[in-house]
Formats: sequence, structure tokens, C-alpha cells
Amino acid sequence: MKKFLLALCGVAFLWCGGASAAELYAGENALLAEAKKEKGLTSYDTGPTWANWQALFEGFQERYGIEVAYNDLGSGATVVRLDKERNNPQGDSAYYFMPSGEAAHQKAVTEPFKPVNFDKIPDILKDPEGNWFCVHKMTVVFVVNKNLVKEMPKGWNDLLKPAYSKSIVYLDPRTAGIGYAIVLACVYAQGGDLDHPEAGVEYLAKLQECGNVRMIEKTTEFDKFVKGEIPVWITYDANAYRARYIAGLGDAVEIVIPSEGTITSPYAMSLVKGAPNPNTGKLWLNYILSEEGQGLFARGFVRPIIPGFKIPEDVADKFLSDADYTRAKDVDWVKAAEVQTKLASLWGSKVLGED
Amino acid sequence: MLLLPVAIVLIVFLAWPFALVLWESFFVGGQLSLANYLSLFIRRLYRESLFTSFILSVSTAVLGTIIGIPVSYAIYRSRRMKDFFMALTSVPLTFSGLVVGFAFIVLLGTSGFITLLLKRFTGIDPLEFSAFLFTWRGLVVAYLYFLIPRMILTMVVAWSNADWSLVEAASSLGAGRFLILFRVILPMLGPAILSGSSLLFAVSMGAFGTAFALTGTAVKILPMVIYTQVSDMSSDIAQADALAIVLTVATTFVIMIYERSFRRADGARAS
Repeated sequence: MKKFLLALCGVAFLWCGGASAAELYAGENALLAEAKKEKGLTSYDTGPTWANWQALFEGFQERYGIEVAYNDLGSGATVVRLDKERNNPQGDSAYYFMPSGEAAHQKAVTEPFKPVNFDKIPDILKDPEGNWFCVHKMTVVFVVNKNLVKEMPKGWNDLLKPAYSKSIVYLDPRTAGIGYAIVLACVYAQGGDLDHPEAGVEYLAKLQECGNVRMIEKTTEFDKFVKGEIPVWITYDANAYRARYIAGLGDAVEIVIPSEGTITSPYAMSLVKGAPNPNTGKLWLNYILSEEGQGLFARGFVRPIIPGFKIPEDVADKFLSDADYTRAKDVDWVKAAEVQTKLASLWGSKVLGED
Repeated sequence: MLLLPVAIVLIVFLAWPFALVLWESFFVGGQLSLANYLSLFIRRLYRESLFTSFILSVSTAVLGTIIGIPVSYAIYRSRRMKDFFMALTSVPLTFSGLVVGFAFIVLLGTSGFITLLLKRFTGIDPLEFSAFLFTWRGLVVAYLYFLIPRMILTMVVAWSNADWSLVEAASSLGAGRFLILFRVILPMLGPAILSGSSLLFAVSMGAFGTAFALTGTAVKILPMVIYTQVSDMSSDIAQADALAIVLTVATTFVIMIYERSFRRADGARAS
């Protein structure tokens, strides 16, 4: 009913062109009037099941009466596609793992744009011109199935104990962004950094050697975890909360932010250069970074990008405490992307003995 | 004239894509080069994965053949139930590899049905027991699930076409059971066993879905290694093309050698 009324308000507003509810930010109505002259919105790579995008599509449509057309390409493929469509752009906004945002900027397929709250985004998580900026982040955590594991691991070094024989699953860093984030998390947890990654890779090699790694996954990890196949799963917190609250495993799932520390993986967006509907694109990006959009991420258990963002009451107590999250470090993903190939093949040779 | 549609299908869906893949595999950064093939000699991983694929496929082909022959004979002899069994046999062939992989997880995984039964009666540790499923030995078990039916389908036809009067003649001439089996029946069925087992080998070499669902990338078989070249993070399409060509050529080559050596043995016996 409430949704219906809201939709009605929206429709009424469109008809009368009058003032709607309070603006989310200054100039919203003016931008909307411009957007109305355009032909809709195409948002690249925002798959509806990932990061609660579906809720943002619905929120956007409810507020402005504009439907979001999306696709789900994958970060690397999105950059390739923007590059191929350079002379005839089809997308209005693009969404990707942060380093792909910089890659798109290098290829000159992004339009500088500073959405609302741009100033609040930490400098390390945005391009100063606004060619790309992060909209939310995920954190590398341990997800433990209590039915299979008696003793909770507190941190990375605990995972080397014999108690976790054949128990640990994580993704391959050569095939998935999460996998690479996990390698970086180990690098920082072992006191290294992007210039000194050896200790982190060495740690993962030890984990492999002592027989605690059950398998190195590629795609089907979420389903396997829910089926009860994975005792200790190293992955993003959003997956962990999804397993706990949405797949309904509840208290059988324990989420641990490792004591030695971990890292965050930020996801970025850009306005596409020469977008067919630039104003609608801006309206969409503003909405995503507004209080409302950031709150919708939080409702899907995805951490908002704005520091100190107040998480909605009804989900706040479902997240781990902010004190836990202080152990999650933001890293320079632009630089991380530069050493990625080298680091992934170092992992391949050290951990799997592939030369 | 009648061959034209077949020829068109083969060209459009086999020859043309193959030619494209072959063409692309000779380029490195837009330059003509043999580097993608030379890497086979440089990177141990590629050699190892080809070898592992080969071992896996030989074991599954041998096991599938050994199990398939007696089972197919039993089905051939079950007169009234034959159609029912034949229908049942084709079921595993209709599933995608991913589904097969997950079916094995449901049965033999940590929380799998069989695993939990065994735990109750023998007290095994489910984690330790189910770990084998994610190694190449687990793949052998899973592959057999869709390889044995292929063997059965090939063999039931062969049993039906066999000339049983030869067997009667042999036994009336006083040949014993073993002699009949090895000197009459097996040579008679030779071609079917040959084509069945080489089909099994070829299917194993290229199977992807089951391995994709079951094992991680730690199991180094060639289809998985090709996959890591074209995934989201790092893509080296030309290298993947070259590895695909190597996989195709190696498989074809092994099957040709195999069939040829057996044909010759057959021919020698016939003369």
C-alpha cells in the first residue's frame, strides 16, 4: 500500500510538475526535469542479485518513475565494452571493481562528474576529477559453519592449526576479484604491502601445504556453503550476511573479521563519456550516493562508502560492530591492479606449484 | 546432393570456428608468433595438465569399458525390462555437467546423504571422507556416471547385432567358456568396444561442467587451465586458443593411434 501511494505521489508529481516531497539534495528537481526529456537509463554491469542492486532499481523507479535497464557483464568486460562503443556509447553509467574504474579512465571513456557527497568519499577511493568514485565496499572476512567447526578461528594464523584440516575454501585470485582481494588481505595481515607481498603469498602456501585448504573455488561457493559443504569460507562480508540472513542459516553461521586485520574491496561507478542520457545518468549516480541509496546498500548488507554513514536501525544490529570493522583497511587498489598479474602468478607458482 | 546440408552444418559449426581458433592462436599482441605453442615447453603447468587430463581420461575410459560390457550384456538379456533399462540409461546423458557435479555433492559431500549414513554406521569423519570428491579421484567417480551409460548404449546395439550361431558352433566343437569368450565373443564385438572406449576417452578429455562444479582450480586438467586463461581477471584469449588446439589435436591423435593399432590386430586375425 505504502509503495502504491508513493508511486501515486510520483505520478501526481509528474503530471502537475509541482514540488514533490523534500529534495534529497539541492537541485534534484531541476535535474529530474532535464532527465525527463531523455529516453530512460542504461546502467552497465549492475547485476540485480549482487550488492542489492534490485532494491536500488526499485527505489529509483519509485522516486522518479524512470526504469533502469541494466546488464551484468563483469568488471573487465565492462571496460572492454565501453572501449568498443567509444564512437557510439550505449550505456549511461558503468559499475565495476575499483581498478577497472581507473582502467576505463585511462581509456578515456569516462566523463568527469562529482555526485552528491563526493567530498565525503575518502581520497583513496575516488578520482580527483570524478572520472570514477566508489559507491560501496565489501570486506574480506571468514565465514564459519558452526555445524562443522567446533573452535572459532580468531585470525589468519589460527587457520594453520590442525583443527581446520581440509576445511578452508577461497576463490582463485587468477579468476575472481574476490580471490585477489583475499591474497592482498593476507599480504597486509602478514605485515607486508604491495611492494613486499612475499610473506602473504608464503602464508597461503603454508596453508596449502599443511592440508587445511579443502579446495580453491571458482564459482559455486555460495551454494556449496549453504549446502553445508564448506566449514571455513574466506569471502566478502556481503556474502556472509546473505548466507546468514537471506539464505536463512541464521546462528549456524559465524562471521569473523580476522584479528591480524583484513582489507576492503571498493566498487566504483562512472558517468559514461558521451552517454545517450547524461542527465538521467547523473540523477542515477546522485541517487546511489544519496542518503537513500546508501541506506539501500546497507539493507542488502553491503557497506556504504560514506564514512560514518548511519546504518538504518532495523539492520544496524545485524552487522558486526564498527569496532570490528576498524581492522579492515582501505588499500590503494589502483596500484594493486598494477601488480595484480605479477602477484597472481606468484600465487600460482608458490601455492599450486605452477611454473 | 544429399550430403550438402551435412556439409554446411559441419562447415558452419565445426570447420569455421576451428579455423578461427587456430588463426587467433598464432598471434601475440597482434604479431604473428609461435609463442603460445612454445609455452607448452616452457611452462610445466601446461605439460602437467595435459598429462593429468590424459591419465584421468585413460582411467575413466578403461573403468567405463570394463563396467559397461557386463552391464550392457545384462540389459540385453533382460527381455521384458530391456526398454525400461535402456530409457533409464539415457537419463544421465541428458544432464548438464554442472548438475552431475552437484548431484555428487548432495550424495557424497560433507553433508551428503551417503556420507551421513556412513558416519552413522562406521563413524567416519565426514570432512575427511568427502575431501576425495574434490580431487581428481573424485572426478573419476563422477565422470563414470555419464560415461558408463555411453558405453552401454554402444554395446547393447552390438550385442543385438552379434551372430550367436558362431557361439553355438564353437561350443558344439567343444570349446570351453573362456575360450568362447576370448576367441569368439570379444573379437566379434571388437569394433564396438573399440569405438565405445575411444568415445569415452574423448568425452573425458573435453568434459568441463562436472569438473567446474566439483573441483577447484587446484586440480590441473587442461579444460580448467584453459578456463583460467579466459576468466574475469586475466584474459589471454590467444593462449587459451592454443591450448584448445593442443587439446583437440592430442585427443584426435591418441584416438587415431589407438584405433589403428587395434584394427591392425583385427585384420591380422581375420586373414
